[in-house]
Amino acid sequence: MEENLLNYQKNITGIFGVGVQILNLARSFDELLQKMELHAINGVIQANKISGVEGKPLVTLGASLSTLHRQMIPEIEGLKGGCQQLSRITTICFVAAKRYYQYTNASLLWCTQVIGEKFKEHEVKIQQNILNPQELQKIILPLLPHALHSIEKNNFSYLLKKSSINLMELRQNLEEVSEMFRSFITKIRQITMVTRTARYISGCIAVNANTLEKKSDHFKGLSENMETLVNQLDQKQREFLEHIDLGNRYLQQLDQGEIL
Amino acid sequence: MKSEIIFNERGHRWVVLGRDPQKPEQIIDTNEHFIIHDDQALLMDPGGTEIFPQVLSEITRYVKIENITTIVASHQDPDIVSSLALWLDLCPHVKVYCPKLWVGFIAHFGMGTKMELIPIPDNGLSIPLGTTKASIYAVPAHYCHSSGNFSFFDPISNFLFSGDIGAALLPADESNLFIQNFQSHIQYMEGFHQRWMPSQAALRAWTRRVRMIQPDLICPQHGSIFKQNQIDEFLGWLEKLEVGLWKGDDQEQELSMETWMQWKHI
Ligand SMILES: [Fe+2]
Ligand SMILES: [Fe+2]
Repeated sequence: MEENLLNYQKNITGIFGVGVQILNLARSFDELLQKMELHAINGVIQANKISGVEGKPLVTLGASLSTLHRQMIPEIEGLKGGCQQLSRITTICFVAAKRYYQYTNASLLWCTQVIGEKFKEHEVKIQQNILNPQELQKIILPLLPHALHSIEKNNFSYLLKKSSINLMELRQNLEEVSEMFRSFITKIRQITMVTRTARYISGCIAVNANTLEKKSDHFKGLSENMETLVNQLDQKQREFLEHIDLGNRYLQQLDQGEIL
Repeated sequence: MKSEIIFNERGHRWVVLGRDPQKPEQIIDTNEHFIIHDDQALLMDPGGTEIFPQVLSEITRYVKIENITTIVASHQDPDIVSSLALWLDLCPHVKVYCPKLWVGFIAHFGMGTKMELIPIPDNGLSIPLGTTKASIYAVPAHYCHSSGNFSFFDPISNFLFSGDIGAALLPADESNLFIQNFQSHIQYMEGFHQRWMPSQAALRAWTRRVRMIQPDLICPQHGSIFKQNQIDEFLGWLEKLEVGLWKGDDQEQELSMETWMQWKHI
């Protein structure tokens, strides 16, 4: 029983870990987009120094690149806030799992005493249904002695009811985690779109830089820097989706009462 | 975990739980005492989270869980009351009393549960047992060992729950609920009191209070119960016991330059 709980809690801790990874990734998105903004602003300054019409497209491209970070602030802040919420919910789940274990364990200890040997015969079935208080009640009730004191009968039902409430709250919270993961994916899709735009703009900068008489190296360098940043962002997004995937697998296992 | 009714008269019962053979080895053995009066229960130092299922499963044999109306905590230690959040979740109408000094500290055992603790003032308190006519009394026992500490006296049974005072660390084969021979019991109490009790004056003040109360039993939170003339022997022993000053080898506490340099990675 204790081992069951420990493993169950391990899965919850796993989700907590996923939350920490996502928070770190959200921070690195922020940093990379900030770097992108700085490079873009620098590009705009350099483009302004180019006389005539030659510099104009670069000014426009640099300017649109420099706004991408600001456009993504709500998504990034949303991810950071979401991670805090996630750690709060996983803590609640952890405690709820502990409570569930404590109440169920108390009921089973009591059963061992009042039912005796007959209880041992059903132990395997009981352990298999440890996360199903209704089923536990169905297995145990017929085993209870008829002459049982009403206080004990009352307490047994009360504890199972409390266990069910805890389990229900636990599952509701896990459902909330699952919804959070979905909202994280929506946010990451927004960031992916920005990454694509940045890649496109930096490509345009490279093309325009080729036509320049002067300072062409500077803008080629800018385009290369952008390319590197966009690749890094892409890599972080892949990691992000892998973590969400892992989180969802933890959730699935928790739902089935199994161990990952 | 075993339970035994040690007082049962006029609708008033005092039950003691303890001697849990399934208890994890690293956990100190504790006794949980509770009083049932007119079907309502008061728990004294209900114990730590680790033994909660065992304590709960025993209590369910005596009283309806919803009828656990009062919990009192002698002090703030985890073996006393770290299970509090679970009790509060389970018995939503329960009133919890603890030393005024520790209210803000015990609230750290909350685990997300709303905690409303009733502070026991330094000079003690009469604590009603739910809605019954019975009450118990919080008798000051500060610095025995905790700086905010109480014993609990039940005038109906005339028993005193003494918390950590009179505590004994018994070997596994010594499982008597009542002390058999006071003189041979001293060996299990001595070390505990010398190390955990910080003040001789406080212990002596407590023994004076207890001599006035004249309880029939003294029930500590660890070890065995004192009865009849053992009570007098115990109080006499406590009065003479030297505690509070570090009597160990000072060398034990000194930090060698070698260790210090290792810690600092010098
Ligand atoms: Fe203590
Ligand atoms: Fe203690």
